[in-house]
Amino acid sequence: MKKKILFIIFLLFFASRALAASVFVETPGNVKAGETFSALIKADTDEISINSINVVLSYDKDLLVFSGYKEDGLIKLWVDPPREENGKIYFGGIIPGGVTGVYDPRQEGLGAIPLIRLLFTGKAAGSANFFITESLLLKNDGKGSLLTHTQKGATLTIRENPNPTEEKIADRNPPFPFDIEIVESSLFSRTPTLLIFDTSDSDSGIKSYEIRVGGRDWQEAKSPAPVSRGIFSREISIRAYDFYGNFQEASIIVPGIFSTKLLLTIFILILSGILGYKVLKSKT
Amino acid sequence: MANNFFKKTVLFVAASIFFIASSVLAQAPVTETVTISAEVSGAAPPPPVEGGGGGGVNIPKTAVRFSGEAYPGATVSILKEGNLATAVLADSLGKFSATLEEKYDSTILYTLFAHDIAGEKSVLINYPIAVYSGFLTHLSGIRFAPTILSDLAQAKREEYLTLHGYSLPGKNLETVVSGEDEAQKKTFTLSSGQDGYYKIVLPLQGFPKGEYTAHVNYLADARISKLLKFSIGDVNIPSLELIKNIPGDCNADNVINLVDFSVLAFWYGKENPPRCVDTNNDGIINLVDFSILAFWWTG
Repeated sequence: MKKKILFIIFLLFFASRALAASVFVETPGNVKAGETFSALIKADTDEISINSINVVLSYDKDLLVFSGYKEDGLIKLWVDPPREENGKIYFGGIIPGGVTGVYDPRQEGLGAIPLIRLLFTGKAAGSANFFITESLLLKNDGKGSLLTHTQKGATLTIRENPNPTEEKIADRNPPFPFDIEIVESSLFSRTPTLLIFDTSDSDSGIKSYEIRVGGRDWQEAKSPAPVSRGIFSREISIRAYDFYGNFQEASIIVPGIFSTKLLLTIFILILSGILGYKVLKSKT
Repeated sequence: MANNFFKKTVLFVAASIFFIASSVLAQAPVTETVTISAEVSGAAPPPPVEGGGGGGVNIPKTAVRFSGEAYPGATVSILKEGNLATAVLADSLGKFSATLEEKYDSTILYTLFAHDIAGEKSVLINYPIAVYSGFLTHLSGIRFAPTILSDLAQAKREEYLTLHGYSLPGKNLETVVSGEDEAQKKTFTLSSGQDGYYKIVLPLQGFPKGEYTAHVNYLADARISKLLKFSIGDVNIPSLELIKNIPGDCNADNVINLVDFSVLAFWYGKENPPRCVDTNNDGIINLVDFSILAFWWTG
């Protein structure tokens, strides 16, 4: 019997070593109601290079409000930009070239990879939980192999705040200026002409984008946005909104099928034809 | 009683040996042995004082130094948060060193890559580094995997494929050819010359027709070169510099960057994607396709 117990303990120990990689949440431990704090999502890959991450985090929506995010993690390109839906935060992205961990001279071995810093505000006193309900870590091996890992949530204590107004932090800065790039569709390509845009916001992150084509209404958009080529060139504007409603706008002129030069050339040719015809007619 | 204790001890020792052996095997082969250190840096010269007089306060310099090995005469580029910060030349032995001055405490993502003397680019290596104000942080032992090129995009069955590129001088290398089936995997060993150049003619006898990849790495080093795609068919088709057949490179410009990412993102979750964006040919665009794109990223 003792042998069996010893063997099981050994197996459990070995299994825990085999699943050394993990995705976990770091929180301050306790905050005051009304205070905005960050929950840092990190990945410890056991020194295996990863390049793609997808995470779903659930939180106590009765006690917490999602207030945005900071892009000081290592995910540089968003496949699924951070968004909130019914008490869950979804995000996914890639790290081109992959990364194994953080090199820190004050730490032995590699440190965990900071993925994203999510911002929450405490609504009421209580014990709030964070759970990672889904997570994918893909190895940087050219095949997108799965990295087996564990998931660890966190618990946070929200204390009563005797002076609730003092903790209010508002983001008053708009997102950073940005450019719009056009990726033209080639003749036989099934991919349409695309508009690419991306920016960041230092205080609360980008919540959404809106697009306006010509003088039409603003509509929700995401990059890349397919755009059809009109007959004439037109102005397209994009607005990037942060979580506090501040926005940054960028515009681009998308050339039409008929450019001004082409129209001018056609006009000159028609005019020349008419004049030539009249000259010939007058001679006869 | 003593016998029982002996058995337990034997069991415990056997388990310990198994565990240690498993751990060692799980870790081999190793990637480069990078070491990181930080020392209080020499003081930066005091800033010039307008109007003369008075002494400046010596502020310790904050900097990050990278050192390691690429290829003889290689150009090593260092990007800071995606933007080119500096480029240095490696010496005739392939050794390089570069120092970047920094200002603040922060975790900074540095990306390194090297071009060999023929202009071929290495894979990207990312180093997120915790930088401390007033310290010189030194990341040493960096080693790039060799570069790789082939003479054929498609090789005739039962004939030969030549791989070549640059590595450190006089090193033992191995090249691995892999097919769609695990059984179609063969490893060949070779050595680089004193100028770092290597060339190997691979006999393709025994390989059936199909799609293959090849890569090169230093012996017992997990870091591999770029994956090179080729096929085995009925005729030899030369490998053209202009078309490298990189997965996800829909605009065929031989670079994988934001444009390719955006095209892939457009097809993300959509049915019936074009073949060029479906990097693993499974008919769906999901995170795996983005992972393959991120692996091939050139920027």
